[in-house]
This record gives sequence, structure tokens and C-alpha cells, in this order.
Amino acid sequence: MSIFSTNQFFKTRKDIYIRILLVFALILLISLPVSWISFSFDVTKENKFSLSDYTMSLINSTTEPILINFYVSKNLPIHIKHLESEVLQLLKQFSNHSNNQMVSYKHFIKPLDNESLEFFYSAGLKPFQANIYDKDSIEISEVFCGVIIYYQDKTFVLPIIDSMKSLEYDIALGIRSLLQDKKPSISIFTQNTSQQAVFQQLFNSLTTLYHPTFHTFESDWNNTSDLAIFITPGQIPSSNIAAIHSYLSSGGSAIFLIDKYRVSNLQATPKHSDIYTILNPYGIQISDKLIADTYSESVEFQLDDGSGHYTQTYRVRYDLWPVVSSSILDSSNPSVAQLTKLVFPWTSPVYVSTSDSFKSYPLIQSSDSSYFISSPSNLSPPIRNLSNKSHPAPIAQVLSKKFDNTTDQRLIVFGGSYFSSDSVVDRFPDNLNLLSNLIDWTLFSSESYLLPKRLYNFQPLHPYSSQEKTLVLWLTYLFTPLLCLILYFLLRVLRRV
Amino acid sequence: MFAIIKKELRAHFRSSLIYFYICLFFTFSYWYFSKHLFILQQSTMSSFFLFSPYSIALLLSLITMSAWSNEKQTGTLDFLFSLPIRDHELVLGKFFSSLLLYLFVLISTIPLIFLVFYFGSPSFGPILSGYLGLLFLGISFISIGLFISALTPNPLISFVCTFVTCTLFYSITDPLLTVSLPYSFSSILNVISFYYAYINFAKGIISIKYSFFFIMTTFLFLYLNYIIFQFRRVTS
Repeated sequence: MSIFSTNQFFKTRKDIYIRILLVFALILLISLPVSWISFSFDVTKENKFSLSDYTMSLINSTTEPILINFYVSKNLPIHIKHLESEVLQLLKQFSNHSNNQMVSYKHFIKPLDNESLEFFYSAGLKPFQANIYDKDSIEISEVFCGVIIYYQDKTFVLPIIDSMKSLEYDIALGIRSLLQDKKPSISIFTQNTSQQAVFQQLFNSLTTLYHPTFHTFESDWNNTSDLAIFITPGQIPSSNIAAIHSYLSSGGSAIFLIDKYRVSNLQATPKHSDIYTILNPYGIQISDKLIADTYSESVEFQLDDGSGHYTQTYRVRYDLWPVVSSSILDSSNPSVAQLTKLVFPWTSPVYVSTSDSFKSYPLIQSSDSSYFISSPSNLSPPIRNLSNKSHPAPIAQVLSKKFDNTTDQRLIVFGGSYFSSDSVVDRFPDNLNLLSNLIDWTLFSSESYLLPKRLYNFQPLHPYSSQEKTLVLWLTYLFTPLLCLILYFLLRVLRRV
Repeated sequence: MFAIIKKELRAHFRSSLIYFYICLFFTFSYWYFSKHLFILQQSTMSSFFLFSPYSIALLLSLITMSAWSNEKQTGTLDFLFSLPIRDHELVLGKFFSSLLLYLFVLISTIPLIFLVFYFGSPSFGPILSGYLGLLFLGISFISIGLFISALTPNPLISFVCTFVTCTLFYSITDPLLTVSLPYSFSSILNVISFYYAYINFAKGIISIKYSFFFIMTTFLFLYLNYIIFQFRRVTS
């Protein structure tokens, strides 16, 4: 029986009803197997929705089974219900791409009874609050959505999954941390303990794979770390200078974030530091100037009337916060190739004079439109000094050499530390990704920096002038109405002809 | 069927109203998109793809409102039935003429692609898949519009019902709507929601499952449209 009438029309109403039912049944019959097809084409440039090559090599490197258990509580709000199916699709990808069938997953939906709650908490899963609608009332309830990865006798817990943005990264990171025997140690130096609170996000981002510890320059250091990070150093006791010297001369890698100026209430005061006695032998020089750029980030400032009666907030493009976008970044260097937007507040240029033992090259440079501010004091906007000749400035330099012909020793030097502080990485997450990529690169020499970090989708606009913007906007806007007008009159003329 | 497509397209393009609709649609899209392009400083078309379903629902409701209603009002529907054309050819003729018109509307938004490529370096894949999503969403909306237009002789009622139905299908999983529904029922809505199917395309994923979902929805409503005429013949 065809669903379309062969005799031009159906004979009776009953005939029609039967055929409607037939069509619904047919659609359901076809839809069911199709709904199981999870095959899709990821057409994004970075293949954001497919497993990265690194993740695939990681899950295929294991010789022992990895089990991923996905736990959700029952009665999830509808948007989290959809997240649940997206998580399952991703876990399916993990399982499917594991050639040796070593990765598998299980899905558990648990009611929120006492027994389940006890399990959730003991497993390390954390609840989050969601609005549960029940008939005519809204109940704010705690729901669970998390993952536990098991490998040998070790576990890795992702306590809360509330979006898909960084899930592949988080799971891959978890698997990698389970596969490694020992966490490499990182010593992070700050001038004092109060400064450590400013770089908490950097510290927290390292805890999954590494064993980071905070130190102050005053405290004694036994220089046994796998990597040392020196943040905005000032006075350093001679015992520690000797320890750092000994660490570097024995092939230790280090990252230096050095501020030439201390910035407080938009006033810059020169910052003296003993770190230069360590860096100078390597030919590293931090300039006294600050890098400014017309391609800069907009920053919010507060204007006080002086009497304390009112403050006015305004936002301007602030040249002392230069932007380095993907078009400027070195696409051949994998540690920065995937980054899209970096912002470097109050940074000085870093220069390296030629050295026989170390190979050096600039890792990050500012744009062609950057220029220098000499002897800065008042940093209040506007900072426009276009009389200075504009040219790219080196923001970070890398010095590397083969130590004992086996291990790579790397010294990475930035002309500022503000870019890695919590308040800045909150707004520009790529700044944190840059540091974590560099740490991965230094410690593992692996390709972990190829892991997609789907935390954001930065595709910044190119620099443009306001006249250019107005002109292009008008031209674009007029195109379609003009096209319609031409078509309308053309058709009228054709009709008359 | 081709004769019907030709006749419909000629009627559409002769009317100055259709140019007004296209310009209106473009103006809204342009205004919303360009505003977000410079506020967010991001060279993506995601704001256009997120806004468009609502403006497309409005536009396609306007285009399809008089597809059958006008024929009924002027009495030309009976004349069409008397011609040696099968009912499904009639339905498909109307559908493809509206689809071609809709394609013209989508082409008219090409300046927006130029704008985003001029000011940034976006990835072309998500733009392509976003347009594919708009096409799938559009064919579903057209089939709904034709079906509703076949139910009523009044174009205004057809317009309102089509717009409400399309918007409802798109935003059926919005918490505002699901707030008072039982949990099990809202889970079913998740399956039939156009939003979840469309959003994959807008993100840059061309999904076989969701492409099939839109094609099946279109087929279902076109078939129901065909059934309405069969009913009419049986009852008359």
C-alpha cells in the first residue's frame, strides 16, 4: 500500500487515517536506528568537537584498561539532560578511538536518596545547585554530574561537569596524570606570601599533573625541583642566589617573569632586583622601557573627583596592555600556535645577546604598531606617543641548550608578570594556557600542548580605524537593498518588454 | 510541478512586498550581527546564527501565510484541483517555490560574511555548517507554514499560527516553557526540539542524525498537507 494515493485521491476517511498512521509508523521506524548514529562532521578549523591527535595517541598508549564512569543524578534540569547526552557522545568517542579497546565507559543514573548521596560524596563528586521545576513550584536542589576515571589502583575525579567546553582536555589530562608514575615538582618563587594569592590560578592549574610548591625568595631552597618559576623577584638573599646559580648550572630549566616596574594606583616605580646578577651571565637584559601598542586591549578605569564624592567609570583602549593575537604569534611553534589572544600589561622588552652555549630566539613579539615608553611614571591613560617609531618588541625570549647531550635545558624569560596574575587570566584565559603550554613543553618535551583547550572561542578582529569601519558597514548594508531594487526594476522592465 | 514553481516565483517577485520582507530581514540581521561583531570583537557569525531562527520564523510565516489561504479565498484552489496535476505535485510545487525564495533570502545575507572576513579571520567551516543549519531549519518552517496555510482560508490566522508553531518548536525546551511541565514530558520535548538539532550546525558540527531529523520533519508536514487535500476531496 503506497502512502500516496495512486488513484488521485483516497476513497474513504478510514483509508486516510490508516495511511497517516502508516506514515507515522514509518517515520518512527526509520528514526530509531538513525537516532543511534552519532556520526558527524566537525567542520571547525581546530576540530574543536573531535578528539585531538594527542588524546588519541594518549588513549592508545595504555596497555592496561582505563574505565571512565560517568555519574549523574536523576531528575536533572533539561539543559543538563542535554549536557548528559553530549558527555556520553564524547565518552563514546574515547571508547571508539581506543584501537586496543583499553578505554571503556559506563553511565550511572542515580536517584538522590541517602545511599547515592553517600556514594557521591565519598567518591569525591561535588554537587551543584540547579532549579528543579516541579508542577507549580521551583525547588533549588543539589544535582550531581561528574566523572571518575579508573586506571590500575589509581583514580582521577572530575567532580563537576557543567559544560562541554574543556571536557576533552580535562579527561585527557586526567588520563595522562594516571599514566605517569611520578608528578614532576615545580617550585614557584614569589617575593612574599601575600603575592602567592595573586597567582593562585596558575598554581591550581598545575596541581593535576605536577606537584607545585610556593616559595619566597627569602626562604631557603634545596634546588631539587624539576622546574623553577621566578615571579617578580626583588631582593634575593645571597644563599638563594647561589642556590639558583647552582640549579641553572646543573641543567635546571626555569621560567622568569620579571617586572622592571612596580605598578600601584597607575604609578610606576622602578623595581630593583638581584635576579639580574643571575640573568646577566646568560646575556639576558630587561629594558627600562615599557611596551605600548596601538593594537591594545580596552581597560576600565575609575575617575575620582578628588573630594571622594563620586567616581566615574570609563573604558579606553590602553596602549600599555598590548595585544598579541594569533596572526602575530609564531604558528610554527606548537606551544603558542593554538593560542589566539594574549595580553601583556605593563611589560618591558627582553633582549638576549648572543651566547655560545645557548640558542636563543624571541618566543613572543608585540605587533608592528608597538612603540616604547621611556622612564614611565604616570601610567594613566591616554598613553599615546605616536611620535616614537613603531616596531615589534620582544616580550618573551627562549634560551635552550642540550645539557649533557641528553636533556634540554630551557630558560624562558618574560619582561613582566602581570599577564599571569589571577585578575588578568580571568579575562584572558589564553595567558594561563601559554604558561601551562610552556611548562608542559619544558618538563615533558611532549606534545601535550596540542590538547585542545575549549575554554573560549577567541577569534579577535584585526585592527581597524573608525572611518574604515563606518565605510565598510555602510557599503555592506547598502548591498542587499540595492540588489533588491535592481532586481525589482529589472523584472518590471522585462515584463514590459 | 515546474509550472507551479514558475508561477509561484513569478507571483512572488512581481510583488514589491517580497523585496520589503527581504530588506527587513536583512536590516534586522545586519543590525543585530554588526552590533555584536564589534561589541564582542570576535570574528564569528555565531550571533547571526543564534538570532536568525526567530527572524526566519517570522519571514517564512509571512511568505507561506498566503500559499494556500489565498487560493482558497480567491477560489483558484478548486481550479488547481481540476487540472491534471497530482496533489503531491501541487504541495511540492508550493514547497520548492518557497524554498527557492528562501534561498534568495539566505544569499542576500552574503554581505555579512564579507563583513566578518573583512574585519577578522574566521573559520569558514562553522559559517558553512551554520548556513546548512539555517537551510534545514528553513525547510522545516516552510513545511509547517504550508501545512497551517492549508488549514485556514485566512492568511492572518495562518501567519500567526505558523509563527507561534515555528517559535514553539524552536524554543520548546526553554525553561520558561518547560517550567510547569512534568519532568518526563520535558524529556520528550528535548527530542523534538529544533533548537538542539540546529545548535549543532551553528557550532560547526554537521550531524547526520539531526540532518535526518529536519528532513523527516519536513516530510511529515508536507505529507500532512497532502492529506488535508485528500480529506477535502473525500468530504466534498
